[in-house]
Amino acid sequence: MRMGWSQGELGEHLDVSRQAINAIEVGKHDPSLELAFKISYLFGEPMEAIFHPHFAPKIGATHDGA
Amino acid sequence: MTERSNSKTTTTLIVSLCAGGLSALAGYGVAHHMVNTMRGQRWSDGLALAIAAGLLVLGILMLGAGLIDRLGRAMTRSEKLTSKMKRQHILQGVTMLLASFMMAAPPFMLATQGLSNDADPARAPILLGMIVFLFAGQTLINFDLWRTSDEFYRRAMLETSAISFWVLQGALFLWAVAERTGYAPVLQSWDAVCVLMAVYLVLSVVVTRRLGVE
Repeated sequence: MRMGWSQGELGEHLDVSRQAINAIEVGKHDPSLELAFKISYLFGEPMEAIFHPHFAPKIGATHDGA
Repeated sequence: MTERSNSKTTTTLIVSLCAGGLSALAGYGVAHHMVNTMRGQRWSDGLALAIAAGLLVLGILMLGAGLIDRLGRAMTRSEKLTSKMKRQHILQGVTMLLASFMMAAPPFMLATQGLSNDADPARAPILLGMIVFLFAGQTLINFDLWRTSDEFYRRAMLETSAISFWVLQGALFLWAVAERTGYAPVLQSWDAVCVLMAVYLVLSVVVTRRLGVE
């Protein structure tokens, strides 16, 4: 974890369980838009810098939207 | 593997072994006690008691996870448990214990009276009233659990419910057709409820494992 937090600590910051964080990390759960925004604000990064949808390369999407 | 994760794995292994041992003991105890009492009862009564025994052990474990910090941390593989998590564990434990009692009480009452179908008319209203009361309480707790769960656990609950509905309504439909055409014996609603509970419990384990809940 980039800020030195464990899954449990990150879960506490986001008000979700450690299991939810683990599932997001291993790609078994896609966070809701609300949770994705919370993560984005917490890390101070745009959402597309944190999440990389598996279909992005297929539709030619890039991080800067070009 | 680090020393810390080794220690966690050992703790998890010890907890799992204890849980397995407790389950086996509870299962043996219940089976030994009930084997003669249950002779001649419906198959669904036996299934109901097996489900009740499983829920009893799980309920005690969940309650323990909420009340005993070390056990809770070992079961959830977390460094610490927040008060919200402890509350969730306690409430889950209580719902399981209530479900266990509600599944066991009807067949147990019939078995101890040596009856296989209709309950003693003097005791039946008391049991029914008690179960309606407990069911209402359990529903309130379940509602609270849903309200306070995070989106991941809500997803697990929704997926389990959706798959259960799909599987069970299909099975019920096929059974109903077979029953209507004389190819299957007539079911009691108690039989259907016991099968529903058993399938729901199995599916909830499958869904949570599939979603990566450790």
